[in-house]
Amino acid sequence: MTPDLDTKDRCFRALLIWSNLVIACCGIALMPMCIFFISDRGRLYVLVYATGNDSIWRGAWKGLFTRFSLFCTSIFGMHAIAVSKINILLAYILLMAIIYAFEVASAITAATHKDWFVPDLFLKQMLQKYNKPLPDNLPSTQDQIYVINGITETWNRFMTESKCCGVYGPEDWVKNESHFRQQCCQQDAMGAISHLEACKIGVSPFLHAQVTLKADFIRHSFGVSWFGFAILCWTFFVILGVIFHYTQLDF
Amino acid sequence: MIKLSIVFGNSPNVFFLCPPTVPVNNSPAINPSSLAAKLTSNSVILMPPSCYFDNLNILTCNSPTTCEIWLVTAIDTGVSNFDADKNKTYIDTLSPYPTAFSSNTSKKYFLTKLGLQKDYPCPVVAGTDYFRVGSDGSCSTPNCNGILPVGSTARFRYVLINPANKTVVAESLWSNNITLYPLKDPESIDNGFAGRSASMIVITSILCSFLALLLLLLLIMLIYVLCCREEKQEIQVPGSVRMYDTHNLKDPSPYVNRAYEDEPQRPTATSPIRLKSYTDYDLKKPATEL
Repeated sequence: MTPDLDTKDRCFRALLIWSNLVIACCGIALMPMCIFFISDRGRLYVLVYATGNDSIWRGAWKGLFTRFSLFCTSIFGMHAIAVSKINILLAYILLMAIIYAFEVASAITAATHKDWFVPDLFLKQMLQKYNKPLPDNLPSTQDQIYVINGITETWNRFMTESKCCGVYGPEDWVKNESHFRQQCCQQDAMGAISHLEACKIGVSPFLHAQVTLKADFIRHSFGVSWFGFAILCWTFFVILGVIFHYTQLDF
Repeated sequence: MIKLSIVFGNSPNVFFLCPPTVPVNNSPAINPSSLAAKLTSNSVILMPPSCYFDNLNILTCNSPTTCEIWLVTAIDTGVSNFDADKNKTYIDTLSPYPTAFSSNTSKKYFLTKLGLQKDYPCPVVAGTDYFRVGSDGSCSTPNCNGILPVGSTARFRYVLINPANKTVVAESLWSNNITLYPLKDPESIDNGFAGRSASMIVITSILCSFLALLLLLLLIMLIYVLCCREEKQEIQVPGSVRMYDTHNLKDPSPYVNRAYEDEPQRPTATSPIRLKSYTDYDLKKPATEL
């Protein structure tokens, strides 16, 4: 080989090694985002489960494992490119292609299932299930009991902690059930209602009037889908570069 | 407006020259402040009768400490029923709340007491400028402030009542029709699918095309590596390369290169080479020995 080609080849290899380092960093940095989403600190899973559309959690689980695999495989790839042996490079390319396919699945699952979550979905669920009497026929209705209890507790917590009252506001209760929930009333530090009469007629600070459904999980699902998309765009070009490098090797 | 003339007591023997109740040119209205519950499916928040019954010259009930203010709530035919009943005594017993809306033949109005006239001074004291109809909920006493039938259209009227015999001495105008919210069935809420968002379309289309391209290029690479590379390796290289034999490993005997067997014997160490000198540089003369 002439020295000129050697330099080009070495530069290209260095570029590929650096690109794999970037993938490794991205993978290990984005994996905790999936962990955070799955851990569901806002305890909103039961609301989503009750809609029957909890596939967004599956997308997050897939994303967790694929991003960790990207981290491991790209470190292996840095070694493979430095050594530039045929079989090792081929193994790296095939592994990356498989992980790529799964990460695509994760990002698409998260993106498509997020579209199902419109506010009216949660409004209907809240009006139908909040504080409704539990069904009698145990154990065949365990699921319904879980859903009713879960929705009641979640909304009680929402209304008290986030200072809101219903999906769109107090009018949800007024138009559909004719009175407010007790949790909509402002509470003092000890947990007692500050001013019950004012809350009953709906005077503003004593009744929570903010619009609710700060559905954080919808925002975090952006992290599963869009960051997955970003890492895949980068990985696509890196894999192309490695494929090209592979075809240029002397056998 | 009809002017009041002197009334000689409430005895039925006295002929009234004019209507006994004093109309007041005010009508109840929904409270305009931003209260979240001012209209629900079974209750309303109205403005209080603060300046309605002042400056009236009524002898039978002329003291703000004795006159009582009551609210009349009427639905449908209740308006005309009350207007027919309003001159009678003990008006509060004619249509108690529990039976007011119970059947098609009931009177469809009821009265509930707000308080004494002095409790509603003019101008209104801040913080008391509301009156909630229906605050007692589903009650059972005759004149409680009970809730209205769901989704009904009601009209309201404030009346000034003489507590001695519970007759109406002054009345406001009827309010406009106030329609309460009908109860909506949650099943009717459309929670359907709102359509694909732009972000989903971008992500899906770009990622799917990338994946397809990647797999295609991978396939091409594998075919190229497996097929096209092998053709290069089949080119024959003629000459000594094929005949090359690792002689020093297989056969430790001194090697004689058969290609050079036919050449004349080269001088060895036993016959030294005698150098010849060239004293002159005429190459045609033979060299002389030293």
